[in-house]
Amino acid sequence: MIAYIESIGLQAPGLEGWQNSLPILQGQTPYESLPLSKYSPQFLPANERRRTTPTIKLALRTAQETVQNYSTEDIASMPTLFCCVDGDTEVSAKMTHATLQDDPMISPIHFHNSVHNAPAGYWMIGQGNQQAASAISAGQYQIGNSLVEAMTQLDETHSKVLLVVYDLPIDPIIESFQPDIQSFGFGLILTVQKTEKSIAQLNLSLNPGRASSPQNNWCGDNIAAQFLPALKTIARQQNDTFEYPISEALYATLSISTL
Amino acid sequence: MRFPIQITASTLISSMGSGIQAHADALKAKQTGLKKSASSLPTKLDVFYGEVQGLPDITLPAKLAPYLCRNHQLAWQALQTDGFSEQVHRLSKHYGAHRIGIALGTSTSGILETEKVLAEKENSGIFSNSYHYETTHRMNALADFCAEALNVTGPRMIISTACSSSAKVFASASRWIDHGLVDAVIVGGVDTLCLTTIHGFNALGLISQEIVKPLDQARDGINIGEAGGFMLLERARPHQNNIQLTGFGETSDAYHISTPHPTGEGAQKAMQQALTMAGLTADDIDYLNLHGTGTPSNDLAESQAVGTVFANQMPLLSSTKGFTGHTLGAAGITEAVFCQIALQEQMALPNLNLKTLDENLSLHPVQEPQPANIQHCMSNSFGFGGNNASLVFSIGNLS
Repeated sequence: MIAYIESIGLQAPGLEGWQNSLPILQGQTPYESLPLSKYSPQFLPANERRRTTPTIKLALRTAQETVQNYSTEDIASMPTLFCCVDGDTEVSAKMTHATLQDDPMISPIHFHNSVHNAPAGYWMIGQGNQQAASAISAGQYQIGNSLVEAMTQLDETHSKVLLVVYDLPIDPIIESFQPDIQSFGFGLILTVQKTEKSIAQLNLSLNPGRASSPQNNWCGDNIAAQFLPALKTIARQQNDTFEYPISEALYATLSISTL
Repeated sequence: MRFPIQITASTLISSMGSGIQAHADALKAKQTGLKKSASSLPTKLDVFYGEVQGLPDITLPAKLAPYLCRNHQLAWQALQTDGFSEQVHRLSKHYGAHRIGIALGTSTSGILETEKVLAEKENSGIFSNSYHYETTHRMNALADFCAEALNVTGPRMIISTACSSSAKVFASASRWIDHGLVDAVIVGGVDTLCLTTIHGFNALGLISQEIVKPLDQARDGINIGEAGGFMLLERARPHQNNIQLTGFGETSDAYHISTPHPTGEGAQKAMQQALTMAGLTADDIDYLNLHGTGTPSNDLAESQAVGTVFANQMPLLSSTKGFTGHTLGAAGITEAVFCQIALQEQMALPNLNLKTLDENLSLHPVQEPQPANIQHCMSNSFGFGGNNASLVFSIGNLS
């Protein structure tokens, strides 16, 4: 399968914004983990904006950066796929904790926000977008399956898709095992045809066998950050091939050719 | 869809019973699965539930032990029903395990495990050693569980878009097959009772104190149910008389995070898209399975949308939530199976508990099982976040 990247978003500590991060990704400036700046999704009505959580905000700021050079009409016509392994564990923790009470009172706002597609919902509302929106999780096989799900959405009648992949630390209330994870989100606008805006070509094929995701030294064990080596290749305008597992016995070969 | 997709195996467990035949029988007999209160869960709200009996007693094979939770107990039981796992094994031998994908829906995965472990921790002060977040509660756990249970290794994911989850998996599966990445996909979904959803919906004032009354003037909310169901999808071979997925539509309301668009704009578009893909017009749909949750706002919005799409002629239609309750992330697969039953039995399915039709709704549902010539069925599934999916299933010789 072939698709073209038209636009990239990148939101992580020390990597705030694709353009800003280019010198770091190119190896000209050392990586330093700095907190992300405060963010508020101004495209949402005030009452909706107030309800957004850190998880929702990471997804939205990544999406927003990825579409920043597109017209309102373009943004409203892009089917959108949000991929997050764990979802909003902070909200899950608050709700499950509330169920311990004799008369559990779950906050209606927490309950709205708990659905895995909450970021997708806010995004589509904020952008007036009535296209398809989805929210998926594939655990340790996240990157490979997210690319498969996004690229298979492209065909003659669906020329573009917005893919947002993001992961955050897991709330300690629901998971005592705490790997070192820093928040990380990246976004891609993928197109079926090469366009004037195309940055790189992706060629993905599936092969039987076992593979490990490429190593990455930044942002800890964040699964979304497994895409960083691919982003470095694009930032350096190089060509390279990566392997991302689809399952324990199948992997995606992803060839990136910078245009 | 470049090629129609055929359904080569299916299974379903809900409060109505176990297996396709049990559901067909219960639908014909107007036998609901909803009961006052739940017996296997310490719910703190005494209302009607669509509870699957006996789930805590289901054991998993040793290699699947870390996955043990109510959601996977139901998944396991469903995989062992209607010869489903045997059919997967046959196909797996034929195509290769890596050529079979898994696309499943759930809204809350195994969150009940986390509720239980937190309750234990309240008493003991420590996190139980037997708690495995990653293989129970984590959003993708059901997909990993089914892959391991069935030994298939193709593309694998969970779609979690609230109550449209296990309808949208049909769209993804079709695209994977269309792109030649797989030869077959296991689609479906599982959602089980948990306090989080019960009290979450209650906080929104969406739980009825009585048995759910879809489309009734006095409807006042949902009953929560649980269900697990699967279908095996393959590219349809020509000239076969079987049940096929012929169209799907996926849209967003872009209106409100938990309230449907007042005129069901997104729902209309989803139905239209599904019809267009199937190469059908609204008049071709013989039976429509509504989302029909029984909340005042859903049924009104859906009625508006259906009224617009089927302006010329209404199909036979009903909501089957009076049988199962709202099975949330499993509603899509539950009602896909109901469409399969409608096509197999040539029967429009009844809408239960309707006393006074709401005059503000343009919908006149079938209230008794009604024999009819049914070639094309549509099923609607709408979820929080304004997430809509419509599916079209057809029977016959689509060469």
